[in-house]
Amino acid sequence: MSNHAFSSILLRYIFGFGAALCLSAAGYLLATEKWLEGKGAMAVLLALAVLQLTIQLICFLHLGLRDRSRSRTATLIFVFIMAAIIVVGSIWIMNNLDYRMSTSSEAMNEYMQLQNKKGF
Amino acid sequence: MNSVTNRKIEKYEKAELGFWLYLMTDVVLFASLFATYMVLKNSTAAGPTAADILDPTYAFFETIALLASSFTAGVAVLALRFKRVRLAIGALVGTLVLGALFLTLEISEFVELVGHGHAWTQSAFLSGFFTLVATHGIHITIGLIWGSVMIAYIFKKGSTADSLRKLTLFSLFWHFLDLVWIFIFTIVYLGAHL
Repeated sequence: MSNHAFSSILLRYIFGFGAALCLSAAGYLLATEKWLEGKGAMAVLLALAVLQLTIQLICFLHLGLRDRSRSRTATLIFVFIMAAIIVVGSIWIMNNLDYRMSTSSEAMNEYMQLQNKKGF
Repeated sequence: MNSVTNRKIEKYEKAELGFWLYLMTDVVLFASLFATYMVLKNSTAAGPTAADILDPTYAFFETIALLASSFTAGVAVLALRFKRVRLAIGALVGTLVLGALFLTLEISEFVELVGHGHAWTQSAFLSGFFTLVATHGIHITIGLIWGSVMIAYIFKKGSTADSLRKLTLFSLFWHFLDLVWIFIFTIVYLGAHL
């Protein structure tokens, strides 16, 4: 009985390890062999990373919706939302700032007048 | 007796949740550093770009080493839970050896970059790169020290409820560092070559 439980949990770890290894290799080949280019490639790479994250969370960190791990799952989801706000917000704001700062003063003037017409 | 055991279990679950909350604050720390890196990625100040200096093959070997060490850390906890102390110590030693290999690869990459004059002072991109990757590296260093202490502790005390709890917290930390590395590998090393 005890031996059976041991090997079934071990199998879970081995599955997680194998899946993570395959996903890492897939991402590596995708980037180095140039199967995809540009933004689409980055989206696929991020999807592979998120898939690997999910597999490791379940197989290695034993996250789930059962009583024992529910509060951990809840805090994790909350923190992921916070992290997404930090990352997406920073990139958005800084790119917008970069766009405004790099325009010439005449173009900037034109842009501001356009914004004024639109109203705030 | 029963209420004592229950109280102990409750204490362990609280400790685990508390440590988990610390890891969640670390997610926010790394999210800020990722955001910084991505904002500064193209500000190379006429220095090298990410594609010039970052080698995905080298980082792939680092990934394999860290992933394997994350796996053996999980095996160590499992073995200790089933009172297989020697297997637990063996898996933990494997974890530390693979972790040390990862850290050695990372440090030699840093030494080579700095040797070519591409230190963190050269451009905003390199500042962001070194801050992000080295913060992860410092976490790994702390993990290696923690892991060595755990080996000595388990060697001395064997498989007790306390040693299992301590090892579980260590494994949470170590798995978490592997999760962060997945994103460093994807965004920094693979993202550089798209």
